[in-house]
Amino acid sequence: MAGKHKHQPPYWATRFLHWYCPTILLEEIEGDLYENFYRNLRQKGIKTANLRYIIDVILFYNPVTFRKAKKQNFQHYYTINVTAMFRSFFISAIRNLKKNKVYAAINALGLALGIACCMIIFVIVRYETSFDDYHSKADRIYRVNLKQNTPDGRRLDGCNFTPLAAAVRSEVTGLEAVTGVFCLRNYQINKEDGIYEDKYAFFADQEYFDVFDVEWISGNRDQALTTRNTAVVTNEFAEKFLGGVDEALGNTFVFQSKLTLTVTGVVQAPPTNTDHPYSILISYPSLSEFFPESVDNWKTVHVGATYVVFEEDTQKDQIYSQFNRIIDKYLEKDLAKNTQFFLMALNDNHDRNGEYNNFTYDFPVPLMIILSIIAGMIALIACINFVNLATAQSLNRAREVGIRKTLGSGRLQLILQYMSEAFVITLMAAIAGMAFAKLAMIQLNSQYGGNYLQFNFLGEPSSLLFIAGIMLLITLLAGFYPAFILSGYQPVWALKSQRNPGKSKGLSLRRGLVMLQFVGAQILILVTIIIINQINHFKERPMGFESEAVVMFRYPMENEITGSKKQRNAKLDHALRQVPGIISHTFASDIPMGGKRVEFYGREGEDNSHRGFVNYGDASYLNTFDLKLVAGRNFSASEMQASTEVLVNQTLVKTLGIESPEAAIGTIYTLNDREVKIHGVIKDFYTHPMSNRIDPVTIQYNMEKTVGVVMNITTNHIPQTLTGIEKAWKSVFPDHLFKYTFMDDFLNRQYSFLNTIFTFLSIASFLAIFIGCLGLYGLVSFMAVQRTKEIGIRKVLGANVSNIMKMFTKESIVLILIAFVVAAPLAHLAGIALLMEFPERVNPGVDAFLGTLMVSLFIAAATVGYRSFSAAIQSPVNSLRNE
Amino acid sequence: MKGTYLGEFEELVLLITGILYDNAYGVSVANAIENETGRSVSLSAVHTALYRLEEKGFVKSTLGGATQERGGRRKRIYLITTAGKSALDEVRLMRNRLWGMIPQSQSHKISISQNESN
Repeated sequence: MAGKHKHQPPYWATRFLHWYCPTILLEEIEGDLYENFYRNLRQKGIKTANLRYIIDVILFYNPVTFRKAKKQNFQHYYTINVTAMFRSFFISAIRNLKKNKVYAAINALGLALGIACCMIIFVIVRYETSFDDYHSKADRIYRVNLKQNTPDGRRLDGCNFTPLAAAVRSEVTGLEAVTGVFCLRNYQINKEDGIYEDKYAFFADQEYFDVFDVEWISGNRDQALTTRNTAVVTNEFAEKFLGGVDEALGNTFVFQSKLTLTVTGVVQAPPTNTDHPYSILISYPSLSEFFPESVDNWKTVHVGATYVVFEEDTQKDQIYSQFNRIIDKYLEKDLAKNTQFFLMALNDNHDRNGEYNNFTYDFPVPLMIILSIIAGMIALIACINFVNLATAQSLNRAREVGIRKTLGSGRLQLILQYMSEAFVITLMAAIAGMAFAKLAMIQLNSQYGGNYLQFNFLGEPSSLLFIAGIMLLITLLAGFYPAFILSGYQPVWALKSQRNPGKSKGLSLRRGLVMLQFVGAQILILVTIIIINQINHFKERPMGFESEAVVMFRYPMENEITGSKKQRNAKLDHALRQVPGIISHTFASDIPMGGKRVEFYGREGEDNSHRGFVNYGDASYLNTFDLKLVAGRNFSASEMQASTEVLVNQTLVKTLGIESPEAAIGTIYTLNDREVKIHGVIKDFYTHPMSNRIDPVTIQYNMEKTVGVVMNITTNHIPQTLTGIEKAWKSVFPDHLFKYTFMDDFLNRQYSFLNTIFTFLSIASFLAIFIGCLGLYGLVSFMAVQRTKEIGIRKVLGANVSNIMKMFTKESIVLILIAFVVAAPLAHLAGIALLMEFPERVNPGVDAFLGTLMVSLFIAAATVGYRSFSAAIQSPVNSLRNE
Repeated sequence: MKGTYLGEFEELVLLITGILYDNAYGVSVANAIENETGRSVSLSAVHTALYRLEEKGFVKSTLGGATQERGGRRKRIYLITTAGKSALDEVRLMRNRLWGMIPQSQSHKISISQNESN
């Protein structure tokens, strides 16, 4: 033992050992080396001891040592420590949340709303983009779309000439299958026990089953849809009308009072995310009986479409040249020049901007983008709440950080800890958000007839990925900054003083974030107002014709009923006269806003053609729509020659270059290749739902071309009147269901795209301002607690409640004012972008902007005021005594 | 079976670890080998063997027992495990079996020569 101090193992060897030896093994190895050294020293002398020591040090430098170290490390840090560390993180996170229940609730609620919005939008977008993806040949199926140049401009259509499918089948090579369909959106069937209606009947040929995936339940697939008057029904249809799937085969029913169909097969009802949501498929040969004029009609396009399946190696180009051959062969020269066919992939058809006629509906990509942006904004506003509340609390937690750091916690571990806190909140929020989303979906489905609940959210890997992704993103977004700030505290000052050296910086960032929230919220509110302005500007202007308490119905299609139209109309006319509630009724082809587009020519010698609308009606047309005559007379009630005498609007008179309406009476011009004489001039009314432009309109007396009846009814006893009308209908069309529309409902549908955005935006702006105010409430209540003592002292020194409230409110008001300055121009731009495609944009007035400012100021002031009031009325005795 | 193969030196270290019971660590094992067999072994060789034995699961280790001459550093104490014991048993059984297979006349000679080397 005495030699211990005299002799030390060679220094450089020890250095070498320290250099290479893994820390975890250093203690035991060095200990052994020392022990051995001193033993050798005692027994064999310094020389041997040194030599042995050096040799041992060098020999320890071998792979087994390092392998051992690695293993040991792993056991220590990863198997035992890390799980314990994370468990401790979660425990402290949950404890901390329990301690600050209000903040936790505000954070979780805000984030839950944000997450719910994101999920709803995700489900909608995912559902809408999944249209027709389920067919096994989906990537090779194309619809043959139509592109035509017409005098009214370019026309695109998903529907195409009815005989096209047959022509393509016989003339085009490189295709695996071709099918043509013809669609009836609403139809009715007659059975012995009654009349029923349903949606989506498709006429389809046998190859339909080669193109689209159809799941057979019973019946012969190969023979189906080949013979006239046969149909394949879905299981849903069979259960609803035919007494079950087993009973269906061989059953017969009358379709649209025209075809007697025999069921030859039952198939599984298609999923809802398809453009072909058929309830029955009718054999294509039956079409020639049902709708003869569509067969071999290469002039007019009806509701039929053609689909082709490419062979594996077919290119679009090689098909197009063959299409041109078909156009040249079948179409008339004029039409052929202006017509083109082009192919669009089946699953691309659904998300077009309403450019093509789909059988169901379009869900345009811009709408998806708008919705996603809105959802993202709300989620962001919720994230900001988290950041703000966490940084506001950071002072309280500085001490915790100091102690953790003193006890050896690294910065990374602290960041991880605060991140896991954010994660716990996000997790809670995600669970609540899913519940919100589910509720909202149910609402959405019942209100808009969506099918989003059919979307199996939890079963889809993509949606699970989405939830995981959004949780991660929100955790990072919300947790990163607070974690970064909190973990950066120096233990020295964190433990020594209360003062946060980064306070002013943190505060200004918090201000910036609050501002950002209100910028977002105000943009949403402003855009909502801009859109409702746009809708209301056109919807609520005096149209120039009556639309309230106006009921319309179409009578059955010409081919579905027997007997002459004239007789039937007379009978119907007579029956309707007996109904007490009807003020006046007219047989008409269209309502004033709308009509058939026609070309007309001016007086003789003029070659210029003009474009306008023509409506057909009878002598009661003016009366029913309450149109005012400015010159001339109405049609006389029963005139045969009335068809050459027309009523026109003032714009038409101007278009023809006639100075005054009075001068126009008796003028002759050419309409539809026939000369007509102006009999009366009516006051202008609006002809476009979204524009103030007024087109020339001609109203012609022509019972043959009317398609329905429009009735102006008294506003009281509406139900009785409707029953009366139905009775009148039944007396003329006993085999048909009575269906009517109110004209204002019909007009409102013109605004449906904007209305959808408006609904979403108004909900979104409510949520945005709500979440923003939640955050504001949290911030203020935090500050109130923080400044309890200050408030007490101020009150003792003579401040009153309003002084103290002012102290709290002032900052928020300033922030919102600044936010408004930023939001107003942005919202203006957003409004312009949204309404880009409307011919006439209504610029929001100053009142819209002022209103927004007032609303957000009021809501914020109320939130802050409420909390600061309760802080201000505290007795200073309590706040100052509490040490 | 490669993992559980017991080398000659490893067998020796394992035996010594068993003998030393709860005082088996690098230096004590090395000393015991030197004392019992007269073989001079390096410390690192013993350590390496112990590490390998631990990898194979024949010994387990804990940290403990700092002494003055180690400068207050703890030692890693090795304890033989059941697996270690049965491995030794197996080796012995195999030896005995092989031993029994040697023809009687030779066995004597060998036993003598082994005694001599000890």
